[in-house]
Amino acid sequence: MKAKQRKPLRQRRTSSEQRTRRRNLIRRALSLLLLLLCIVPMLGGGLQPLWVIPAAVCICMNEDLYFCMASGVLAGFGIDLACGSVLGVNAIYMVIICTAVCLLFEQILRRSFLHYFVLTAAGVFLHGMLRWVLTVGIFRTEGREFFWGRILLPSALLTLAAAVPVYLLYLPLSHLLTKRVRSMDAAAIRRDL
Amino acid sequence: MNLNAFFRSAKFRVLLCLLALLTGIMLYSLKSGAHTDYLTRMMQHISAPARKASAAISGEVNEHLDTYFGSKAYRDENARLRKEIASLNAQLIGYDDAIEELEALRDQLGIKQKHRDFVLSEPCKVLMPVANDLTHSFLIDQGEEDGITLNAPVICADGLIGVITELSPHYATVTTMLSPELSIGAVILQTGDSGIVEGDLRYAVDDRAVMMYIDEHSTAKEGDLIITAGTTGLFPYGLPVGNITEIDLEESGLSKTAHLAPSVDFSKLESVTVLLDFEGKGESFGES
Repeated sequence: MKAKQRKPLRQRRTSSEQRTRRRNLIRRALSLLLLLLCIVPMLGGGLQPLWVIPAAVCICMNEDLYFCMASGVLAGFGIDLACGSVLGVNAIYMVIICTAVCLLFEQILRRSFLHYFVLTAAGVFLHGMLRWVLTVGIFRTEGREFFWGRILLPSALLTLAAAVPVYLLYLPLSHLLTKRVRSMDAAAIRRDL
Repeated sequence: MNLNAFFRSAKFRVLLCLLALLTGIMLYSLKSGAHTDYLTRMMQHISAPARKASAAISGEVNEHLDTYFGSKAYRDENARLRKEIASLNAQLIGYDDAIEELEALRDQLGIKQKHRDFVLSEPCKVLMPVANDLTHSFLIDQGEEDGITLNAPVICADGLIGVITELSPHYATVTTMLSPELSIGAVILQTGDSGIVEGDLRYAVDDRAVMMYIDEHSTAKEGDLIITAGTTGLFPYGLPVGNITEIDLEESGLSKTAHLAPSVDFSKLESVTVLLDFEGKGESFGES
């Protein structure tokens, strides 16, 4: 039988590790704050951009999978509250989207505005489809095309427009509080940090 | 880490557990009905201050934007109103006599007497409309603890607005008659023809609803008043619903369908009243 190597229970961290840890903690706290701030304007009612979708995608570009899932839950509950949908529907959707985005950035994609924007657009479009199906499509409600044309499409376009300020808001946060790693395996190393 | 490794990792198992938990929450919410489960209530309670602040800010912003972008419409409206004022001033002579006559007629018809059975809530403030909703559903500042109940009719001086569809201790959501979820038994006052008033997303865009299943021989015409029939036990008899804007024979030729402009302007609502109880509540036609 292969003997397992035991890790020491407590290992003293170097000052560099402590700094990185502190920086990660602050970045995460600020990311959550950003997400909460994005939920607030959606609660105001009326035709609204879904601010939390670009915010969640932004966060998922930089964070590890567990944090992305938590962000997805928070963002989803925010949408549920604002849009008056059954609690949990959007949370499930956002968890899946956040996980997918996180995996894509970890495995394939480079962090860039274009990738962020394309993924946000995909997320918004899928959310619109999901909402359309669950709200009017499944019941074959009369005039369901109006729901798409007058509510979902304008809201999706507003969300895409909102993706720019959200990115600009998150960019300094991520730049200042993420340790620079200049190697080919940057993503993997950053993840391990 | 490739995807195969991800599917075998603990992270994937955590993801599955989280999705299962969220599915459970969703099913629980769904089962509780009308979004009145404990979790939704708690979240609504927690988010209430944010909602108020957000509604206040967006109201303020909308007002400013409206001033800039709607100036032409306001100018036109102003000109129209000036004309109306001039015409109303001309009609003012004899106004007092008309009021006395109206009071006498009301007494004669017994409307006052009939409405004494209404148990009304305190005036409820309209907090904000539901986000991204075509049918003008909105939130009011009173809930279960103020005596509001699910499916209670919501009215204002102009007539029927809708019903309470979601409830939390201090807040409630009102679904308006423009929503396809709501069906109201109604009567055309002038002809006595009955039908069903329903929302339709095609017409909700222009703040219109439809009245279906009107008798094919009905003589109802544009401008006729539609009131609640009071036959379902959900609404009392005689609440104004709207005026007919268009009436046509159905393609099948079996009945007529009327388009109606609601008596209430949903976009300008600031305060509403919930009808807590009335004579015949819960008794559908034939039971009483």
